[in-house]
Amino acid sequence: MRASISWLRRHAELPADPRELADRLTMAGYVVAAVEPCGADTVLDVEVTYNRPDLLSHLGIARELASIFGTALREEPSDLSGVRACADHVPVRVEAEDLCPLYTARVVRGVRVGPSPAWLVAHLEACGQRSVNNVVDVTNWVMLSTGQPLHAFDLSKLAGPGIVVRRAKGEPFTAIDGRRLDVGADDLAICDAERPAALAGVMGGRESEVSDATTDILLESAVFRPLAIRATSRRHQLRSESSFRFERFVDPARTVRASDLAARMFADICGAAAVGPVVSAGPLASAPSAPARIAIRTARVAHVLGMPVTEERIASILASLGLRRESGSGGVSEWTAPTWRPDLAEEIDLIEEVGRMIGFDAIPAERSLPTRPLVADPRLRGLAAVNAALVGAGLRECVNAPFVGAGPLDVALLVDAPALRVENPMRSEESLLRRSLVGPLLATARRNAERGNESVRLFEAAPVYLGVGGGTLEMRLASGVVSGSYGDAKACVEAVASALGFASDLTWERGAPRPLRAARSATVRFGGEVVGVLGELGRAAVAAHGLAGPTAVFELRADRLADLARLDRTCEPVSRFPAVERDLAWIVDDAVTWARIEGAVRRGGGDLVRGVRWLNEYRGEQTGAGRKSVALRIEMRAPDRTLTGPEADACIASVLGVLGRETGGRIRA
Amino acid sequence: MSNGTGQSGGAAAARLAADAEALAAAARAEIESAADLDALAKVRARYAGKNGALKELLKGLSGLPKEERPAAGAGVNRIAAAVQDALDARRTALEAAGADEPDDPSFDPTLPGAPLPRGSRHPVSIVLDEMRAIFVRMGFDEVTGPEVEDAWHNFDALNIPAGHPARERTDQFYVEGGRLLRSQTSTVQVRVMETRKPPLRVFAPGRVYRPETVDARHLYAFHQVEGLVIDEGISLADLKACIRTFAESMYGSGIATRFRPHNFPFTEVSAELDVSCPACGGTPTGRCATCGGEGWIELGGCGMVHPRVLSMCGIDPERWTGFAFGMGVERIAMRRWALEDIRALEENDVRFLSQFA
Repeated sequence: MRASISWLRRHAELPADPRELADRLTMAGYVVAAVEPCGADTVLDVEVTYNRPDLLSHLGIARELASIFGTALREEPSDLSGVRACADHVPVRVEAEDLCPLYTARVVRGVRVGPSPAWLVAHLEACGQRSVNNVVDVTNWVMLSTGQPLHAFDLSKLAGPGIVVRRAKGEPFTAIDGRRLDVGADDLAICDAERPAALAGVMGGRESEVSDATTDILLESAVFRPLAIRATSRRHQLRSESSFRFERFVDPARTVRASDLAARMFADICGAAAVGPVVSAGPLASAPSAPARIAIRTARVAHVLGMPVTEERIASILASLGLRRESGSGGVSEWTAPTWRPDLAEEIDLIEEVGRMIGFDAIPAERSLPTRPLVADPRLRGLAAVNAALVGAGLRECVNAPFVGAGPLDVALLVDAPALRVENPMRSEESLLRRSLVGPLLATARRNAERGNESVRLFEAAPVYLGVGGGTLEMRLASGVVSGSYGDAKACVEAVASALGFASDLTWERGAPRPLRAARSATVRFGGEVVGVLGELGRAAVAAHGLAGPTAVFELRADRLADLARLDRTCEPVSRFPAVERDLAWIVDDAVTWARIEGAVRRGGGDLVRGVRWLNEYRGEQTGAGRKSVALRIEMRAPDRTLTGPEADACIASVLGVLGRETGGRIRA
Repeated sequence: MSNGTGQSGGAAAARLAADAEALAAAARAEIESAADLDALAKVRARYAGKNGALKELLKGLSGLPKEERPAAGAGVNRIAAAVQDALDARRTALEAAGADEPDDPSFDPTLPGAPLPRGSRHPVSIVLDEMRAIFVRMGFDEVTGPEVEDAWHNFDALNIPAGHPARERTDQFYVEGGRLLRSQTSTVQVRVMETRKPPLRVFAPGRVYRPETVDARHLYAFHQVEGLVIDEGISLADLKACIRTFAESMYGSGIATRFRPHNFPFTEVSAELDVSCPACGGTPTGRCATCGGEGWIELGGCGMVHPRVLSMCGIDPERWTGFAFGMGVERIAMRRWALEDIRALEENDVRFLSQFA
């Protein structure tokens, strides 16, 4: 709301310095975003919060300032004494009572349409409005003064006999700005006998617009339901100063007063010959709503604000804001809120007003909360350990937007449920919620490749959401994209497993869903449960995703790993006795995995085997087709003594026996 | 004869002792001036080696009378041992000084170190971790909630009734099935109040979504940290103190906080909270790039939990009062690293990320 300081001064004595006005308004809750000179005047650009529709007027802002500075408030005189009255009127009927609580109309005869006086033009320009003619300018001025939007129809253009406020019926309507609209049952229209003359609360019609030839007008001052006005305004993409105010709140108790003020100005400024009586219709015309009483307890004010405030101070603040004291005793007083403050409905609302006017700066800030024991969430500890492990493995954390389009980025690796659809995405390529973090990570890798960052090691830790059985399934994942091979991705997964204390509990099963290569991927299980997948992208996928070279990815159920984590595990002492190491080369079928070989060695060697290391693999003449020679190093150690040569020999003999039985291989000569 | 030799022998012993002292003095001087281990080895050979000067000196003992030999020999040996000690000490000193290796002019200390994959936290995570550490220290428990929410938790329970403009599609991402992406972490407040009994002191970091046009200052997916304290006797003064403690922990004790009344549906009394600009200290000279010359920067919103919100979550607002606050993480990160375009936080360009580790 742009407020002219000279206009505000019509209502209250105010300090001379615009900066002071701006600062005090800001600290009362209404940020003054700009203080701009405008001719001889100065304009405050006030950010009005949604709960204070009354501040969308000079009267409202002046009232707030008068309360802040403790000065008296003056209203514009609206009495019609000295203005010639006539009995002419137009009957009004409100059909859509649910959308229009109050509609008033009055006839004004004999206006002379012409330019507005300079002060009026200056006021409007200060508020960013262009002068149209004196009649339209008066309606706009009254709106900016009181917050009540008005509309003036050219009475001669309306088809008799009266005005009906009703839902439109699929009729054409041409707005003042020339746009042709098709208005229907969701739109409230102000209609003459034949057709809509205005889109209620939003915009007048071109046909009944006031022109230079206009002499008689019908002045509308009404209240419409905010939701109806907002819906129409959005639907037809028509926004106006009127709709902005009706969408919030317009005070029905001051609707007639605004009509009077405008009528007075038509007489004074536009030379109106006679002014007719206000004709009212709508539910509030016959039964105005009575304001509710709100009790405020002095002790509760201190309780909420954290400082004592005297009953007198509370009373003077509330009175300055226009509340009326109805009764009070024993530390409790009852008040009725002014009709223009729909936001004041219960005790806490009044307490806030007291706090606001005292100033939050005056409230002490010296307290401290008592200490209390830490309650650590084990899941969150586990998730933090996953992140730390991945950073430790040399990956850079990314934060990607969770949206993907239908297509190659809608990757699904750990789930077989449909992606959730976003109904109003910003872009069509962002119409789905990601089911995997890998899709957006691949997009990030591509963006980096395009910018010359060809080798990447990236991870992201975030939740994904799936539609399952009409509900939502949330999974917290940790996923990565690394330039390189399966082994590069596996090292990352192993780093996580090691950090969580179950390096040897994971099993690795060949194969994972596309876009991973079946022959270079694995599904990772803990017990029987799938906790991750990893693998290389096929050459086609590398090309399709615009990546610079061989790329491997992993995706882990970080939530499950965190739950399974052994973060409070005990440690093992380091043996003081030396180890004996033996290397051997074992020739087996290609299909025999390292995990089987390692398992056989451990089973064969028993507790003495403390480590089994893969050294290398060889395929060639000595192994024969379809077979490989695996070189490995076995570390043997006893916890309580130095192992002797014969003990180590016996251990290796047992290892070879089990290896032979379980893997069907032989030792390489 | 024995007498004669004895007399001449006494003079020979004295001469031997004098020679030994002279030799030792010469040896010490050479030892001290030996610049490296090679030089020292030569000194050692000259004096203490198998054919060294001290050994030669001992040969002179045979010219002494038999009864004088032990004392004279012991004297020479003492001197030889002292020379040996000096040699050893010098050797230790030279070795400690690294003199064991010859200088290598081809060595370039400015060459890059061996390659090491370097991981890093995302700047948003770094800020979140810092905020987390402060809130944990202040006795807050970390809680989380879902990002895909229902209307009850995102609106109704937060006193945002049907028809409120905040519920419009222009302000929310709606997901099929009547759900939506939460537009504020305040949803977690509700979930905590529904499932736990007061007293409560929790913070909830997380991502929120609002369909804003992306520009240098706005993303439509960003992070917030929400805080909630519910107890008997909690007041606005406690909120102010809590925020002040946080701000001083985050920005240093010189920071000032400011509370401006504002309007949020789920708090009443409501305020926006500002801190004095950490860049210009709140006294901008001209146009400070961080605060735009205002001297203050907005940190977030806060307020006393609306009694209606407490009631809707089954908490008696007469007995319990509380406060809540929410802060934007990206904005803190932007100021922290003087980042001008917020979009860098979502692009994940490795050249950007690598500045954080």
